[in-house]
Amino acid sequence: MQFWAVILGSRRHRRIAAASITSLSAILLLAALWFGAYPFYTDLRANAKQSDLKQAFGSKEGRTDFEQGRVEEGAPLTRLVVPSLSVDTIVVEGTSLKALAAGAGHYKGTPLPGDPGNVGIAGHRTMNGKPFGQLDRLKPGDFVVLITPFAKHTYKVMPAFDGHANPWVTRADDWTVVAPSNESYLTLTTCHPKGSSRQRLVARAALVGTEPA
Amino acid sequence: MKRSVKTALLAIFLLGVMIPATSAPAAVPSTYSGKTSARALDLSLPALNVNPTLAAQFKGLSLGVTFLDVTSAPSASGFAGAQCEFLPQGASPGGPLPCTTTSMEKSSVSGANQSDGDNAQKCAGAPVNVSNVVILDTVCGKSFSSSPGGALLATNDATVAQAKLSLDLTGLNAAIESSKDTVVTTVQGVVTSVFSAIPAAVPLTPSQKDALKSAIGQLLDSIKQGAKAGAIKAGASSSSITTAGDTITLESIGAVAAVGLLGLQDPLTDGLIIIEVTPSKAKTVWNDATGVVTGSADPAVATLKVRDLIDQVPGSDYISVVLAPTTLNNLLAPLKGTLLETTLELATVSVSPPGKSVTASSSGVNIHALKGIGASGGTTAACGTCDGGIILRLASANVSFTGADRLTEPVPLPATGGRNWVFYTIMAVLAAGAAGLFFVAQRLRRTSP
Repeated sequence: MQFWAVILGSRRHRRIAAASITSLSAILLLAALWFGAYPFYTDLRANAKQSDLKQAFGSKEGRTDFEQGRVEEGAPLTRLVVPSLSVDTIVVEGTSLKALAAGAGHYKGTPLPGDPGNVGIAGHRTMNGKPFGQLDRLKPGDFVVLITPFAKHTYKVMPAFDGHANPWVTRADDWTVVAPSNESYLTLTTCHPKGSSRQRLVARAALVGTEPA
Repeated sequence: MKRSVKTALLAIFLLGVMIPATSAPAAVPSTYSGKTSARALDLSLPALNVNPTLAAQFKGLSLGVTFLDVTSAPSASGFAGAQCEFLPQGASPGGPLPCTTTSMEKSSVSGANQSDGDNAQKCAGAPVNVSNVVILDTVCGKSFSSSPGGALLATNDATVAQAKLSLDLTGLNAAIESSKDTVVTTVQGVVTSVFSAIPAAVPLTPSQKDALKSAIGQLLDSIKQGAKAGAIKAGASSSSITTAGDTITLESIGAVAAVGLLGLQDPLTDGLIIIEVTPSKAKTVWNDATGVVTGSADPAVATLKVRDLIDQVPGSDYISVVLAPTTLNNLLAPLKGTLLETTLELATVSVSPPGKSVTASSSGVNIHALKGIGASGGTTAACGTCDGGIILRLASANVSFTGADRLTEPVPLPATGGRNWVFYTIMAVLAAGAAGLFFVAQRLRRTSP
């Protein structure tokens, strides 16, 4: 008490100080709210993007671009459905930070959905709609469906292979997981553990059927 | 207050945007080092043994000498010396070289965005008289190195317009005179061989053979009276590096245009023998993207021209034969063991296969002419040890390059794990701060009288 009396001698000074500190407190509170809301904001933003992507995905232009193999970065490429995880999301082309703001992106250079080879898709585990938030709960035998404008490709999560479980955790720079393959695979990648980019969680499924869309 | 609030919010927003961003993979530049060298001409004259005074003065010559050493530091060190004393094959610009400074330039850069030297030739005043044995026309050197943006660009050129050998051949008189018939017959045989190498050649008639013999005899008489031993028309040798995108090219060119031997006035135009030589080239190309260096080398091609003493080909002063090893051996074989014994080694190239380290070289053309002159056994019509004469090493070029893979820090798979806990933590800290400040403000109000 004596301390404040010395520092802030007059009543007027104390009032000004109190008002200033209250204002600063309000600013900090607003900032705290913003930080607390930001993860949810990215989810809302991703959901909004998904709405736009779904419309574009079914459009005539989207079909033409897919048919001609000229889907641009950030444009919708395929619809990913994982019934066991209640995932239904549009996957965009590319895995840049901007592209992945939509939730999930197709690794450029890997085959298009349904094509022979190892199709790679990365998805957020936290924030940005977190389509792969529960990827660790995927089990061998679960189905993953990729729907393109022309076909529906069904993949089945493979049993453990190469001495590791499926899904499995690997290094953050383990690009072998999306390396070319003579088999028709689908490889899903996301960060691990949740909220960290230290490692990657990977799940692989094999193509078991294709039917016209 | 409104302004400060905006500033604070902007700062917080920027912080928030930055946190989920992935760090871009940092590329570590590749590492490499390379060396290149080229010579237009190495000349030594054992023939001077006939004149010990001159032999003691003349140290031999290396003309059109260029070097370039480069590293990925980046650094480049270039040298261009138009006129040097004879340099051994392993000579390098690391230390002082016995080159004439008036036609020599050096340049070096270390680090990015540097430059040294210029594109102007530095020339010695012509003519340059070397021990009264060789007269050099214009000799020039130029060296320029730069590293704009870390990409090396350097050129080193050395040129010698013409070198004339002023050998005093009168020392041959006794030898020629003592066995003139033998020498004439031998030379006639060589010239006849050249004539017969002409496509669709018509054999010499007996009268043509007599005419040839007579002409050669006259030529030898002229030599006794002070004909010119030889002249060399040199081209520019160069060592350079260029960088274009992912490609780094290190190249050396050794060039000599022509060598004329045994002429009356100017061996390059009226010599009995003129050897025309195309430039030899050696090159390495480093692809920074693939981490592979490939080499290539173009050999110098020599064309032998023999003066058409009997007008065998009407309207032509010389009969030309593009030299191939077998042709060469056949042509020069008759001279073996004579005063005029001459050997000529054609250019060979060697290039190691693509990889991390490649050497490419073109040896140029080596001529050892008139071996009997000044031979250690004495200048006689019959050459015993045949270690005299004129030794020319023309147009040589060498490049070596060693590179290491471009190193890149491990590139992570796409980051898909937004650090939401960071946001919550910051939120908690800020909220606690806000609460604390609010508490302080309340205390202040309460303590107001």
